Amino acid sequence: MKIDRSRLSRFTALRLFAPDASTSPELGDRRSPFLGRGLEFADYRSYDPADDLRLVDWNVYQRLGQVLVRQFHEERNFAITILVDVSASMGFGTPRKADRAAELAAALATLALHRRDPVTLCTFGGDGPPNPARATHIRGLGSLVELLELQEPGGHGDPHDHLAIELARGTSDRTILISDLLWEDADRDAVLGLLASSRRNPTVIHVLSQDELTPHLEDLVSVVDGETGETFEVREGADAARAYQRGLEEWLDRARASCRAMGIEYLRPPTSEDVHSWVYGMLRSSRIVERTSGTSA
Amino acid sequence: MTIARPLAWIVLALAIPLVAAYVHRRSQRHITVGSAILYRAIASSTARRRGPIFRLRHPFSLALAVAALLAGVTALVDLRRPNDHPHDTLVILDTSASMGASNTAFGETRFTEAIDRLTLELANLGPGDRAALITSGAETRVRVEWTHDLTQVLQATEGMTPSGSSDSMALAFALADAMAERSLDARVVLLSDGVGVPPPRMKRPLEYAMVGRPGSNLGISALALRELDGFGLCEVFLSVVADDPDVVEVDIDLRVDDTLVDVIPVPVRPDGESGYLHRLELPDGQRLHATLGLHGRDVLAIDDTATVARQAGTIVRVLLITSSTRSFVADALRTHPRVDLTIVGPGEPTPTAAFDLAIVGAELQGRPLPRATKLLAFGVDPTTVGLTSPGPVKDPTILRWSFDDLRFRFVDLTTSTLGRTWIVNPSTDVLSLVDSEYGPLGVSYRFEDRDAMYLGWNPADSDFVFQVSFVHLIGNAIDWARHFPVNDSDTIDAVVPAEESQLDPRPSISGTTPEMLTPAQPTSPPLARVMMWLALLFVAFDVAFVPVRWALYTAVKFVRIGVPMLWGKVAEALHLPWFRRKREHT
Repeated sequence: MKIDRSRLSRFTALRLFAPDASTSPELGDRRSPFLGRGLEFADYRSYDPADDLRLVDWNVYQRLGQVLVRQFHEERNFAITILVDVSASMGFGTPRKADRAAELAAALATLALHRRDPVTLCTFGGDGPPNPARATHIRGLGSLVELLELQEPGGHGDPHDHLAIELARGTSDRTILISDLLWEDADRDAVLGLLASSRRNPTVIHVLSQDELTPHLEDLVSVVDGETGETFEVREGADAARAYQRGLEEWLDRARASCRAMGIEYLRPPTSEDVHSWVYGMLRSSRIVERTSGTSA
Repeated sequence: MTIARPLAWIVLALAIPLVAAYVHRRSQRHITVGSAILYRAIASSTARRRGPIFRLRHPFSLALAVAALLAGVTALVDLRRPNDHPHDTLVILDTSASMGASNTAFGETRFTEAIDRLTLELANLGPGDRAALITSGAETRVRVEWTHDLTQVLQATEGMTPSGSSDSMALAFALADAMAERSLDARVVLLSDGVGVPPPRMKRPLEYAMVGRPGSNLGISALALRELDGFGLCEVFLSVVADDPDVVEVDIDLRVDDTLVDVIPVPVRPDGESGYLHRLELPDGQRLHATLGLHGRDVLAIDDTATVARQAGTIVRVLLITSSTRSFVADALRTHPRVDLTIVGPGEPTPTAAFDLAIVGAELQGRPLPRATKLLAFGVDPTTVGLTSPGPVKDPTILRWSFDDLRFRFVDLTTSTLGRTWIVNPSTDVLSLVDSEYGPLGVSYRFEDRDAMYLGWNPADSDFVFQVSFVHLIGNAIDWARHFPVNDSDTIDAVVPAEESQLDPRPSISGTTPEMLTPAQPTSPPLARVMMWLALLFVAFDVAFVPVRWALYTAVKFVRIGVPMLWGKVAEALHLPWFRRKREHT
C-alpha cells in the first residue's frame, strides 16, 4: 500500500482525543482510573509493609498516630489499536481504498506516537493471518509504516477469525477499524459485535471508493466479485442506476444502524477529500482527534 | 473474375451487422468489482439472450466469423486468377478450307493445331465446368451443346476435315452469342487462322486464339469453267494469288479425270492476284483439276489444287424485250448454245409463257412484265422495273463494280464509255453492283418474287458492246438463270475462295481479344472450393471454441495435478523409494 511519508508530519499538531480515562499500562500524561504515583492526590490508605515509606504521610501519623499512605491519580497513555482491512476488495477504487486506509492509519499512528500514545496496528482480512505491530514511541512509527507499505490488498480471509485473534491479545483505549465493510450482513454484524464487545471506544471508519458510491453503469453487462469470484449479470438503464443507489443507501443504513446498535462510532469519510482533510475535518469534529492545545475530558 | 452475384453481396452485407454487433458487444463491459454485494440490487433476474450475436466472446471469434463471411463471398464470386478457367467455355472452331493449310514442315495442318489447342483448352477446365462447340466452314452449326462431358466435344471433331469458306463465320458468332446467353459467365474462344473471318458483332467478348504461322503463300484462288459452244469447248479462268515477291511464273497442270491435258505457264504478279484464260475441250460432266507446282515456302498448300466440273446445264428460256430484233444483245444471246430465245419487238404483246430469264432492253410501254424467275433490265426507266431514280446522267465514271459477283465474272468495266445512264436511288432493299460518282447504276434486288438485276445503261448506246466483257456479261446472265443439278454444287465449293488464300500479314480480327492459352495446369481444387472449406472450418472452430478451451484447460489441469497424483498413488502402491523419501520429508 502506498503512503506519502512526507505528509505525515502535518499531523503532529493533533493528538488522540481521550473520551475517558486511559488504561494503557504505560505511564503517560492522560488521566487514568488507576491510583498510584502521580501528581494529583486521590486518597489515603493504610500502610502495608511493602509500601514505599516515601508515601507515608508523616503529618497524619504525628497528628493521629496512624500510618497512612498517600495515593495519587496515576496518569497513563492513551492506547489505540488500528485495524486495517487488507482484503481483496480494498484493492479497488481510484485511488485504492487500501491506500487511503493505509494513509489514514499512518496519520493516526503518527499523531498518537508523537504524544507517546502506544499504537497497535494490525492488518487483517487477507489470505494470511493477521499481521500486528506495536509501537510506543515515535521511533517505532517507521516499523508501522513499513508494515503498511509491505501489505498489499488481496485474498479473502475470514475477518471475524482474524479479529478474534488480535482483539484477544490486549486492550486499548480506542480501537479503530478501517474497512469497506463489504461483507455479508451476518458476517459484518459478527465482526462489529466482536469489536464492540472486546474493546473500549470502538470506532469504524468506513472507507468506500467513488466507483462504489456512484458507479458507471452504462453498457455494464456483468460484474465479477473480486474476492469470491461470484459473477452475475446486471440490469441496464436508468432504472438500474436508481436501484443501485437505493440498494447502496439501504446497505449503508444497515451498516450504520448495526454500529449504532452496538455502540460503535461510525464514520464514513467523504471520497472527495484527502486524508489530511479527513483527519483535520471529520476525525476532529467526531472527537477522535483534537488539537494539541485542546483539553482532555 | 466476376462479382456480379447478388447473393455474394447479401452475404457480404451480413458482415456489417456482425461487426456492428461486435463493436456494440465490445462496448459492453464486464467489470470486476471489490465486492458484488453492492451490485446485487441490480442483478438481472433473467439470463440474457444467448443468441449468435451475444456469443462473440473474443476478437478472435469476430475474426473467425468475418473470415468465414469473406471466404463465403469469395466462394460465391469465384475470384479467379486470370489464368484460371471459367465455368463455361464456348469454342468456335474454324473449319474453313484455309484451316487445312500446312502449318509446319512436318505436315501438321492448322486444323490439327486447332484441335490440339481445343484439347488443351478442355484440359484446363475443372470438374463441373461446361463446354460447347460451334464449327464454321462448309457447314456452320452447333456441334456440341453445353455439356459437362468434355470428351464429347473432342469426339465431335473426329473425322472433321476443313472445307468451305469463312463466309458463314458471322452465323457462328450469332450462334455463340445465343448460346452464351444461357450461361452466366461463358467465355467464348475462337480457334481460327483468321483468314476471311469478319469482325465479330457479339455481346460477349470474344477471345481469339490464332492458329497457324505466318509465311508466304501461293495458290490457285479461283478456277472457273464456262461453255463456249455446244460441242464441248470451254473457257477456263484461272486465278493465282501470291504473297511472295520473288515468284515470277508458275506452271499449272490441267488434268481431266487424271489425264494431263495441258500445262499452263501463268505469270504471277508479286504480292497480288493474276488471272489467266484458257480454252480447252471438256466433255459434259467431266471434272477439271488444276494443280500448282508446290512452292517451297507455301504455307497454304490446300489452295494449290482446285477442281471444277463442266456442269451439265439445261436449256435457258430467255425472253428479250427489245426495240430492234437485230440488237447486239439479241446476237449475243443467239450465239449461246444453251439459250432458247424469244424476242418481243415494239408493239408486240408480252408472251404468257414462263421463262427462265427475261431481259428488258426497251421500255415496256404499258405491257406487263413477262413471267420469269430472273429479270435483267438495262437502259430502261428504273421506275418501270420497281426502282426509284433521280434521273439519267451522261457518261458517268464507274468507280467500283462487284467483280467477285458471278454475274460479273470476266467482265471489265474500266474502259467503257456508257453514254446516257440511269442512276438508281440507293435503299436497303437493293444491293449496289456498279457505283459511279452519281450513285449506283447497277443494282441487284427482288422485284415481284423475281431475282432482278438492273443496269442503267443501254449496251447498244455505248462502246461496251464492242468489248468481250459484253459477251461475258450476257453469258454470265445465262449462267445466272440456269438450273444446275443439285449434286454438282459441291464442285463449285471445291474451289478455294480467293480470300482464303490470303494469309500474310497475320490476320487480326478487330473486336477480339488475344487469348493466351496457358499450358495445362496440374489439377487442383478451385480457389472457390478451398475458400468454402476454409469458411466451414472457421465457423466450426468458432462454434467449438468454448469446448476446445474447456478441453485444453482440462488437459492442462490433468497434466499439472492429475498426473502427479496418479504417479503418487502408483509410487505408493509399488513402495517406490521416491515416494518414501517424500513422505518422510513431509
